[in-house]
Amino acid sequence: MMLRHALTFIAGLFSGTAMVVALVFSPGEIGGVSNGPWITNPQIGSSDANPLTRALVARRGLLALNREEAVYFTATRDSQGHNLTERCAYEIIGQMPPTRWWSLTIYDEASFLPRNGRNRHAVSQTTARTDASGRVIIPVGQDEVGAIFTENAGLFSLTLRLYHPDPVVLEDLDSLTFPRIDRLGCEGET
Amino acid sequence: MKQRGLPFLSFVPGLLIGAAVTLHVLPGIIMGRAMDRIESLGGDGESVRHAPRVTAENQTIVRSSPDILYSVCLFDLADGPMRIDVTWPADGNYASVSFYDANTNNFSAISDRGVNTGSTSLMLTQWTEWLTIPNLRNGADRQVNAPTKTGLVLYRRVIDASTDLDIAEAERQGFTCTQMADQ
Repeated sequence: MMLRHALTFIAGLFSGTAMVVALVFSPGEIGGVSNGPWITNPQIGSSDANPLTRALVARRGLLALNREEAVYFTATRDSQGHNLTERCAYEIIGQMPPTRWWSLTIYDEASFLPRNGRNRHAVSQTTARTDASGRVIIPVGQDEVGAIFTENAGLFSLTLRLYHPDPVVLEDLDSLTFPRIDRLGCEGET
Repeated sequence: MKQRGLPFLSFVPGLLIGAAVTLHVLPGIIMGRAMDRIESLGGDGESVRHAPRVTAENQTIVRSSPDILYSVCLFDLADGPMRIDVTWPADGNYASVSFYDANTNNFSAISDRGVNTGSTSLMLTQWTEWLTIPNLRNGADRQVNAPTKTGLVLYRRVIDASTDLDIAEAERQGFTCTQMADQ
């Protein structure tokens, strides 16, 4: 009877370990609070993060700064709720949140810059195109200057970094308007 | 019925303990592997590695930004405190020095916004040393106390379309980490 209990306990240990490893290393994102398709977790980089958030950040956002220095928003879906994929072209359009400096970068499912021979992985405050009303316009999926190139990105994510964000970003996220991610079209669509 | 239920009572504690222990140790394992990778890449000078601008071909850490210049040094405070010096960008772009413990926590950060001078010196000490000798600053501008003996210090500096990369490169050479003699 004791042996049976011990073996069952050990099976539980292995199952618990496997469950956590599968969760942390799955393609899912860290989760948290959102504004449209943009999601952030206020505990990123914080010593107060709960164990699960700490493990997820270690896997998907190692060496992130705490929120007083930078806030990271990630989008894995467009504004209509579809997964972001290299098979489609997108346009990001709208006002960026108030901050000292921002940049937007593409990452593949393994959280690395996709390898495609182009260095068009990011657009920043100083390189983004804007229209007459000051809205940022970022093409995603097109092979052109000022665009984010998606070849070999698979199902990708976009990370928006805000360095020294205005306090309103930390205190009243819902009051802000973030850029939309509009899907323009996909391979095979007519 | 009772006999079928008893093994389940052993499985659940095992499951919970296994999950809790894994969650606790996983960040340390991931951090340790990252530090090993950084160490294997070598360093410029005494201990700082000034990484080239991030590309898809040379990236070593997840979610690095191609718009940031990174420099890094590892610390092991068992050998004594570490002095860190940093020169801030003259062009007004964002730069920071952030400290990470062995469990991935960003336990401290200082940026160009929080200083009034062109450069800053910091003394990184062990938390346990701070408890017994509160002031180990040794002439540095600030003292930072690390919760773990090992970890890393990361310098970030924004480079944008108007940044003079030669100047940015020269400025980040002012980021140095010097192991002090055991106190």
